[in-house]
This record gives sequence, C-alpha cells and structure tokens, in this order.
Amino acid sequence: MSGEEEEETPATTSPAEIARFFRRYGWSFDQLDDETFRTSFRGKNAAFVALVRVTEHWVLFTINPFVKGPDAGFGPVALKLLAHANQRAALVKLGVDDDGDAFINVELPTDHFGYGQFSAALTALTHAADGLLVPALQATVIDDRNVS
Amino acid sequence: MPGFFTRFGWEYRRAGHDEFLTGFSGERGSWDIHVKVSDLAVTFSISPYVTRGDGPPGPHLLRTILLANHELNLAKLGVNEDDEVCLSVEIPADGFEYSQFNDALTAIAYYADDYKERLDAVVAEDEDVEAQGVV
Repeated sequence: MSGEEEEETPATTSPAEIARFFRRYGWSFDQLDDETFRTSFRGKNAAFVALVRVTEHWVLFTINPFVKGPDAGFGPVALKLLAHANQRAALVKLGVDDDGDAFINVELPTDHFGYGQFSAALTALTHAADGLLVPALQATVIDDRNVS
Repeated sequence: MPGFFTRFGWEYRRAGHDEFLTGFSGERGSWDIHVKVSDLAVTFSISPYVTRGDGPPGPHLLRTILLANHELNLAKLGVNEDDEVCLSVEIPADGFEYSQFNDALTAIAYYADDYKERLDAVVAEDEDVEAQGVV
C-alpha cells in the first residue's frame, strides 16, 4: 500500500460532502439552503455564477441564465450553435429553459459521487461556459440582424 | 466494463480498444448504443437517434431538443458534425462505478423510447415547412 491513503467514495453524497469538495477544490461558496450552494468564477471572457444542487438522486451544477433569451426566442444561428455544442463539450449539457434562457449544466448521480467527479464536473462547466459564451452571444447578434 | 455489461444483463461486443456496442428494442424502435471509455469520461450514445432526410436539422427540431434538455435527467440531446441528432449520457471516468453504468444505460434506454415519437413529429413539421418554402 502506498503512503497516501486512498479515499473511499461513500455510497451516496450529501450536502456536507459537497461543502468539503468545494474547500478541497479551493473555491469559496455560499450555502443558500439545505441542498443548494452558490459559487462564482471569472473566466477569460466574463464572470459567472454557478449553483450546485444536491437532491436525493442527482448532483446538478448549473449556470442559468448562461445567455438570456431574446424576447422572440433564440434564432436559427444560436439554436444551431447550442445544439452542436452539446456534442463538442464533454460532460456538459446546454439547453433552453421554460423562460427561454439558455442554460449550461452538468448532472450526475449522487450514488458514488466522489471528489474526482466533483472536480471533473466543475472543471467541465467552467471551461465550457467560458469557451462558449462569446460564440453564443455572437450568434444571438447575427440572428437579431437577420430579423431586422 | 465487460463485467458491468454482464451484471446489467445486456449482450455487447467490442467495437474498438475502448469502445463497446450494445443495443435494445423498446416500444418505439430498436437502437444501437455505443459506449466509449476515455480518460475523461464514459460516454453512452445513440447516433443517429432521429432519422431525417438530407440537410441540416430545422429550427423546430433544434428548439425542441434544446427545450427537451431541460427535462432530461442525466441524458442530453445534441447535433454532431454530420448534422445527426444524438442522444447521449456522459459520466466522468474518475470513480466510475457500476451504479453509474446502471443509471446511464437505464436513462439512455428510457429517453430513447420516450422522445422518439415527439422528435419524429417535429422532423415531419420541419420538412413540411421546408417543402412550403417558408423557412
């Protein structure tokens, strides 16, 4: 056995464990309620606020709104960009919510959710958000010009 | 991964060094599921998921899959570089356990069956609109 003790992943994660994961990742956070955490980060292009929510079955990392939806809804250029981004960006999901805003999230089962998956999820979310924001905003501008 | 397939009770075959192919028949169709293992993630995917004619996906289909992504748990819909609509589940490879394999296969199989008719209807809608030259 090596000198470094292996960390055992419990059967299911908990809000207390998510708080420990945040501290280990080195990011500050606020706990908004029993199951919801808020953190923020600044990328190359913008600052983002992300929520992490722990439910009975899922751990959800989300940035919503990622891009506010135009009053008339996203146009074809933005829709195409968001739909294609789902295949290019590993682990993250992009979509449009009931308010018409674009969101970006990572959703994983609570079962055997350990620090490695917390780290992978937060890293994927932040990279995808920062990398996709400018193209997504550009796409909405192009759609706007095409309409007017 | 072979042990996980055996435990889940599904047949599979190797499709490459780190790739496996399995499949199932649901109430609304039969699908092949590719399972690919990389350093970053284990990816379960059905591609193409929706059968369409030539040309890129229309705006109704794009809007529908993006709205559906708000409803789907664990799974996501997207469009690949060949303009094919794909259904997938991705789990980080770090700490990947059987319970997550189970969740992933269960989710992709459930949603493949559940969304098939809805997306087929939207494809038909886009094709009608295109045929009328409205887009």
